Order: sequence, then C-alpha cells, then structure tokens
Amino acid sequence: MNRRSLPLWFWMTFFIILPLALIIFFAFFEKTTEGVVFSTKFITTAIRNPDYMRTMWYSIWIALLSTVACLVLGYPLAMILSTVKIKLRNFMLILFILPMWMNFLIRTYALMAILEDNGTINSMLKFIGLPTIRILGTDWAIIIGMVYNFLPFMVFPIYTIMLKIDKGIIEAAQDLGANSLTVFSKVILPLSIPGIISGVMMVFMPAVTTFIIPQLLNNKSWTIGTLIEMQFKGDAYNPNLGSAISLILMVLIVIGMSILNKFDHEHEAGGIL
Amino acid sequence: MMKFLKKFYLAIIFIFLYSPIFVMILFSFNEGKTRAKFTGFSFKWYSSLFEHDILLVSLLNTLLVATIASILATIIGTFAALTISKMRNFNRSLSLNVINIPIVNPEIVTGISLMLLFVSFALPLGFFTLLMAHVTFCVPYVVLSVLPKIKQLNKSTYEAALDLGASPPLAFRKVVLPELMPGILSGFLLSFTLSLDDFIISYFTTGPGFPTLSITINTMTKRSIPLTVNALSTIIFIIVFILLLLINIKNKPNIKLGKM
Repeated sequence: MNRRSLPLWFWMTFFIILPLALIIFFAFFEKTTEGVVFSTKFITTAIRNPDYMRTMWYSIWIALLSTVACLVLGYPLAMILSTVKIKLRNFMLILFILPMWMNFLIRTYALMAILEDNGTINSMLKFIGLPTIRILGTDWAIIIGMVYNFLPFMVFPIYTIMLKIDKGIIEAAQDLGANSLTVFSKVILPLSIPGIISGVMMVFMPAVTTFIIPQLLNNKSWTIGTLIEMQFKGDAYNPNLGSAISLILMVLIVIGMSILNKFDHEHEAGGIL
Repeated sequence: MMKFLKKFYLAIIFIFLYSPIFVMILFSFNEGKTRAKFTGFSFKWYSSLFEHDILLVSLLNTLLVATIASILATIIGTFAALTISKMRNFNRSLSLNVINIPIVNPEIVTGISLMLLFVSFALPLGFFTLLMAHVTFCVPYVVLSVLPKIKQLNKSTYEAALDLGASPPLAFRKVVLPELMPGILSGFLLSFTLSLDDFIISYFTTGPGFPTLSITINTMTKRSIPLTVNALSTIIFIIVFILLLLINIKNKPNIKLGKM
C-alpha cells in the first residue's frame, strides 16, 4: 500500500466502512447491565413480526407501482424530448429540471396543497359541479408524490440513451420495410433497455426507502423508511431494532441490484447512468 | 396527428409538474391565512417572511452548509480521484467499490449509519456533524465526475512541462489541473445541488440547534404551515429560474459548436 493513498483509505474507513460496521454491530449486539452481549433477537423480531413484514411488502408494492408509473409516463416523454429541435429541447429540459432544483420538501408541500380535500383539484371539481374526491390520505397520493419527485430520475437515463441511438439504424430498418411499430419494438426499445434499467434503479431505490413522502401525503400508511425512522427519532426509540431493519433492507437491495446488474450485462450496451 | 399527440402529451406532463408550483406561487400572494381559499391580493407574507426569522435562518444554514460541504467535498473528492487513478487492480476496484457505497446505499441507511457514528463518538449533533455528513455523501459524486477526466489526460503534456523545467507542483497546477477543471466543476455543482436538496441525511445528522430549510419545513408540516413558506418558495423558484436561464444562454454558443 502506497503511503500517498493512506489519507484516502483512512477517510473511507472512518466515514464509509465504520458507519456501516456500526449498523451491523447495533443489529447484533445489545448493551445490557452485564455489558455488551451478542443477540439475534433484533433480527428475528424484524423478520418474525408480521406487522413489519407487511410494512416491508407494502413499501415494495408501492415503490413498484410508482416505478411502473414513472416508466409508463417517462418513456414517451424521453422519446419526445430526444426528437424535439435542439433550441426548443434545451428550454424544455430547463423547464423539466427546474422543479427538481427546488427543495424536495417544498415540492412535496406544494403537491399537498393541490391534493387536499379542499385543495385545488377538489375546488375545480366542485366548480364544474362534480362530486369531490379524496386523494390526500390514500395510496394514490403517495404514488402521485413519488412520480412527481422521481420522474426525472426515470426520464434522464432513457433520454440520454435515446440521444445516443444511431439514426442510421432506424433509417435502415425503415428502408428494409419496417413500419413505425416494428421500428419501435425491434430497434428503439431493445437499444434503450440499459437506460430503462438505470431509470428503474434510480426511481425504485429512493421510492422504497423514503419516509417523508408517505408521512406528508398519507400518514396512516407506513413504509420501511417510517419503521427505521421511528426507531431512531420517534417514540419507539430502539436503535438496535432500527439497525436490524436497515441491515435487512441493505441485504435485500444488494440482492435486487445484483439481479438487475446481471440483466444489464446480458445487454452489454452501456453502464449505469 | 402524431405531432399533435406529442405536443398534447408534453403539455399534460408540464401541467402536472407546474400546477403545484403555480398554486404555491398564487397563494403566496393570498391575503387570507390558509392555502384553501384565495381571499385577496397582498404582499404581507413577503414582508412577514423577513420578520419570521426561523425560515430565513434555516435558509442561511442550508446555504452555509451547502457551500462549505461542496467546497470540502470537491477538494477531498479530487484528491481521492487522483489517488485512485494511480492504484492498480485489487486496490483500485476495492476503493472504487467503497467510494460507491454512499451512492448505492439508500439515503436513510447512510443517514442512520452516520448518526450512529457521531453518537458513538459522543459528538453533539449540529453544524459539524451535518457538515461531515454532507461532505461524506458528496465526495463519491465528485470522484465519479473527476475520474473520467483523469482517464482522458494526455500524460505527455505533463512530462513535456517537466522537461521544460517546471517543478512537479507547477506542472500539476499549470497542465493537469486545467484539464481536470470541467470534471471538478461539475462535481462541485452536483455536490452543491445535492446538499441543498437533502432532507433525509440531514434529518438524522443535525440537531435542534441547527435546522436546515428542509427540516424547518418538515417541522412546520406537523402544524399548519404559514404562507410565508409559499413566499420563500416563490423567491427560491424565481432565483433558480433566472440562474438556469443565464447558464443556458451562456452555454448556447458551445452547444451550437458541438453540433457542427
């Protein structure tokens, strides 16, 4: 090991490895009156407790729905953005990034005002004489909130990869007699898969762990994020249990990522981002 | 037909993105107290914003942390990238994987892991812990923006500078650093934005004595939110909009050149 690389190793050990080691430590060791003892009870509680399991599946389910919604909405958007004339495109990209540069909390708070029972949507419904609907406080509100906050994470990777697709290939397919549907399904879609994969990862990851979007938009439903947050900041203070849940979450994510990565390597067209 | 559909779709998406912001801006001029009913036009929330110090203090805190953290992260990240670029095989892939952890890990895990670190060392949560946390999650992004630029470096120019009598530090400053500058700058900008926008990691690593904007707004959502938040958000929106327009106008000639 080179003497010059020592500060880097020191920094990485102290700020990246040690904190993660602490999570593992807290998940397995407990401070009792007889000192620090090994215990698997936190991990077993986290796995065995049916409420926690339900919360985990619920988070994964909501995150999946949000990711699919982002993909369905974002894919056509990325495609359209990549075909717009350059001058207009830059302006549209600015319009698209602009909400992202506002604070995350401000964005979600702004959305809250729209979705409220006496918010904008319901005022408009009332104005044209339709019955009002309840959005805030339902799962729909969470999904809308996730899409509103994470849509750019889906659009940008796909958009970048769309720009890179060689127009010659598309023209060649058209010359060989493919109609626009075949061109899309046989050329554009397969070539854009690496973009889709990184988009899915970049949306799913924050969606599955966020606790602030559910808390603001539907505070009755809990996600993994809420569970972890409560063990550290809430009334149910229990860092050991919180660490155990985080550890399980990390393991699940590593498994998920390696599956997606394998899928990505089969296409071998581009890396993440 | 297709063209119309495209425009229609774009319009729908932009309405979705902008209607919350539009409503927020509208209600910042509300004379009444709630965001449920617009009763009249007034600037009172803007004037009360400057008396309502907690929001302004939080905004200043956020800017302060973002500035210092992104500068520190840029320096650490650039040196880290230079160090990694000199490594070989095992060491290189190990350090790249470790550096990537804060990017791959969910924010909440990074947040609580750092909180456990600070608490274990009995550091009081506040400005310094927040700053360290922000530096930690920004450094990987700087490394990832600087490394590709190091790869593109032409070694001969550095050697030529040495041959022409420059000392290694001088050659580094005059030859290598300018080549790396675009990567360093984009790493800095990315860090600054990430730090400004962060809520989750800050939530776990700062104390009650040093609230950032996200944290103050989060606390306010537990009660009824005063419309001063709308006023502040409107100001932020306008500043960001102008900044982005300026950057775009400045960059336009480059884009044209790149297209030729």
